[in-house]
Amino acid sequence: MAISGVTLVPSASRTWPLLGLLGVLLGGGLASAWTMETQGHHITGMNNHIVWGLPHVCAIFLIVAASGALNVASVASVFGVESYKKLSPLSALAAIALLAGGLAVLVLDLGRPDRLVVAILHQNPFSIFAWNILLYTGFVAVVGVYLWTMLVRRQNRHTRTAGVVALVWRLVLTTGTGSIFGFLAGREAFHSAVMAPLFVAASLANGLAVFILVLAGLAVLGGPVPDAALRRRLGRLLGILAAASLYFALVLHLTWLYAPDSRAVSRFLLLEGGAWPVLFWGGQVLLGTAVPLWLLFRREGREVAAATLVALGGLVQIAVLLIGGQAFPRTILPGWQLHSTFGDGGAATYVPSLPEALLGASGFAIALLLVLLGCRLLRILPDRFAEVPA
Amino acid sequence: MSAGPTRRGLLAAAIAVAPGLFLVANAAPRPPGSAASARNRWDLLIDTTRCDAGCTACVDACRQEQGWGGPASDGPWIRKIEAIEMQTGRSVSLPLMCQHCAEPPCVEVCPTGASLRRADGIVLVDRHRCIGCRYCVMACPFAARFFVDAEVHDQRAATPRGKGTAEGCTLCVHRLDAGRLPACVEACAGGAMLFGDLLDPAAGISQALRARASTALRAELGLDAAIRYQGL
Amino acid sequence: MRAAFLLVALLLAPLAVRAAECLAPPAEMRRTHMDILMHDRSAAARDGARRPGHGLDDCITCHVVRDAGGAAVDAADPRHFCTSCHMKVAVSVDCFSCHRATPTEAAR
Repeated sequence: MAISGVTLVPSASRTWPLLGLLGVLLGGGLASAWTMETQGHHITGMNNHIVWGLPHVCAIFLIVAASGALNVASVASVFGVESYKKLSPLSALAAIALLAGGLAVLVLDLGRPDRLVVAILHQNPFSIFAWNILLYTGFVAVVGVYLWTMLVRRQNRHTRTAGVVALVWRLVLTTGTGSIFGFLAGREAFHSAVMAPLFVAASLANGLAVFILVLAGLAVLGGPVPDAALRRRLGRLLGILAAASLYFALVLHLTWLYAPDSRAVSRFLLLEGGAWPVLFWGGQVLLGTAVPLWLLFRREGREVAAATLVALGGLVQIAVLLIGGQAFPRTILPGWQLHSTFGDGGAATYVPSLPEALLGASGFAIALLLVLLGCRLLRILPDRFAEVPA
Repeated sequence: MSAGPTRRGLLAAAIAVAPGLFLVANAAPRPPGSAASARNRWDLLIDTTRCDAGCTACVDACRQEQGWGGPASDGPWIRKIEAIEMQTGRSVSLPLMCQHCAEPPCVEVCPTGASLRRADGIVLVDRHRCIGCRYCVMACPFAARFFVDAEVHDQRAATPRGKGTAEGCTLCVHRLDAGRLPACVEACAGGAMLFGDLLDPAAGISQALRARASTALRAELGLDAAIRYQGL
Repeated sequence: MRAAFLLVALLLAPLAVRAAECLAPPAEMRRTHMDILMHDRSAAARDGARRPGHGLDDCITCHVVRDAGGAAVDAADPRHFCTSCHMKVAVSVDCFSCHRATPTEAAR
C-alpha cells in the first residue's frame, strides 16, 4: 500500500519557543560534555562507586525507547495491521532520532571521546559493549533503509522485507543492551538472564509511550490530530506493554528473593536502600505502571497523561536498575562484614550534578530536533487520520 | 656449589625472612626487551594471620611507587579491608588489589581491548587504547578498577596515568620486568605477602601453596585469580 | 649462588646504561619517531617488551629543556622539546596526558 505523507507545516508561534528550548538544552549538553572532558569527571556526581550515572540513564532510556518506537511500524509492515501503516514513517523516524540522541550522550560522556576512532578501529569481539556499538550504528542504517522504502513509492514493495530486518535487528539490539548488565557475572545486582527480556519489554512500553507523546506533540505544533479510535488503540497497547514490563521486574525480584545469597540485593532495592525503594515503588510501580493502567482502562481520553507517566516510570526503572545496582555493595567475601577506607561493605551514594543533567537532557533535545527536522523536510506525516478503524 | 649445613640453614632462613626476594632471583629474569612469556605465572600469596589491622605499609608503598592517591577521587590501587565473619565474630585484616584473574571480567568486557591480560598473567590497562567508558570498572567483582577523573600531574616515570582512562594495580609490572618485587611485597614488614612464579615448582610460593590451604576471593565465579589468601 | 646473581646483574646492565646518542640521526628521527613510538608503545604496554633505551622516559631525560632556574619545563611550556616542534606544525601530542614530560629529579 502506498503511503502518501505530507511534511509538517508547524505553527510558528509554538515551534520557535520549542526550538529555542531544545537549542538551549543541546548547547548546555555540549558545554557540559566539553567541561567534563577538559576538567575530568570529578566535576560530576559520578565517582569510582557509581561510574555510570544520570547521563547513562538518559542514554539507555533513549536507546531502549528507540527500539520500541519502531514497534508501530513493525506491527504495520510485518504483521500487516493496516491502521498503523500511516504512522510507519514517523515511527521509523522517531526510532532513528531517539537512537541518535542516546548514542550521542554515550559518546560525549566517554573519558576519552577523542579516541572514538580507536574504538572503531579496535574492537574486542568478546565485548557485548563493542557489539552494542555495532548494533546501534547498524540500527540507524537499517531503519534508514526501511524508512526509504516507505517514502519512495517504487520501493514500497520492499517495505515488508526491510521491516522484518529492522524488527529482528532491534530485538537483537535490545537484547544486547540488556545483556550489557545481564552478562556481568561479578555484580549481583546485574547478573541475570532476565535482563535481556526485561529490556525488550521495557523498550516496547517506553518506546510506544514516547511515540504517543511525539504524536501528540506534533499535533500541537500543527500536524495531524490523532482520532479517538487510534488513541484508544495505542493506549490499550501501551497498557498491556507497561504491565508486561513490570512482569519481568517482578520475576527478577522474586528469583532474587527466593535464594539466600541473592536476597540482599532485592532487600536493598525494594526495602532498605533509602532512595531506591521510594523510586521503585513510587516511581516505577505506582506512577509508572499502576496509575497509567488505571488511566488507560478506567478512564477515557487520558492517553497522553498515561504515556507521560509510563515514560517517566521507564526512566526511573533504568535509574533504579543502573544506579541502584551500582550502589549495592559488592559481596567480595560472602558471609563477612567488610569495612575499608574505600567504603567496602556499605552502599554507595550518588547525587547527580548539573553537567550530568544537562548532558542527559541534551540527548532528548537531539532526538526531538531530529524528529522535527525530519518531519519538516520529508513527507513523514499522514495528512489526516481516518475516523473509522481499518 | 656444595650446600653444607650452614648454607642450608641460610637458605631456609632466606625463605622465611625475605619472602620472594630469593624466589625472584631463582627464576631467571627475561632478557631485556623481550616480551612477557607464558612460562611465567606471577602469583601473590597473602597470609592474613600475619596482616595487622592497623598497618597500611603496603598501601603507602604502592602510593609512593605508582603515584596515585593525590586527589581524593583517586581509586586505591590497593586497600586494606577489615573483615568480620558474621557467624563467628572473627576479625581479619587483608589487603585487596586487582586479583589478576586468568579469566578477567574486565578484559572480556572492554570494547577496545585496552584491558588486557599479559602472557605471564598480569592484567593491565593499555591506556593508549582506553576510551574511558568505565565498563571494566562496572564489571570488576572486587572494585579493583578505577577511573581517573581529574588531571594528573607529576606521574611516576614508570607508571603513566592520565585523566579519562581506567587503571588498577599492575602488580608493579615495571619492577617485575626488571627482576624486582612489587612495592607492596617489599614493604610488608609482617611477612604477610609472598610473591613468585606459580609455574616454577621449586619457587617458595608454589611450595607454600601446596603445603597449606589457601583460597581465592569469590572463587565460585571461576576467575582463577593470581592472588590467594590464607587464614580466611 | 654468587654466579647466579652476577649473571642477573650482567643481563640487566643494559637497562641501567643511558644511551649516549639518539636512536637515529635527527633527520630520520623527525620522519620516523612517530612510527617508532607507536610500535614501541604497543610492544611495551601490551607485551612487556621494553627495549632498553626505547622508553619515552629515556627520550625525555636526554631531550630535557631547562628554564632559567634549572627546572625542567613541562609539556605545556612551548620550550619543551616535543612541544616546541609540535606546536609549530600544529600536530597535537597526546603522550603527556599520561606520561611524565620531565625527567624524575633523581635522573638529573
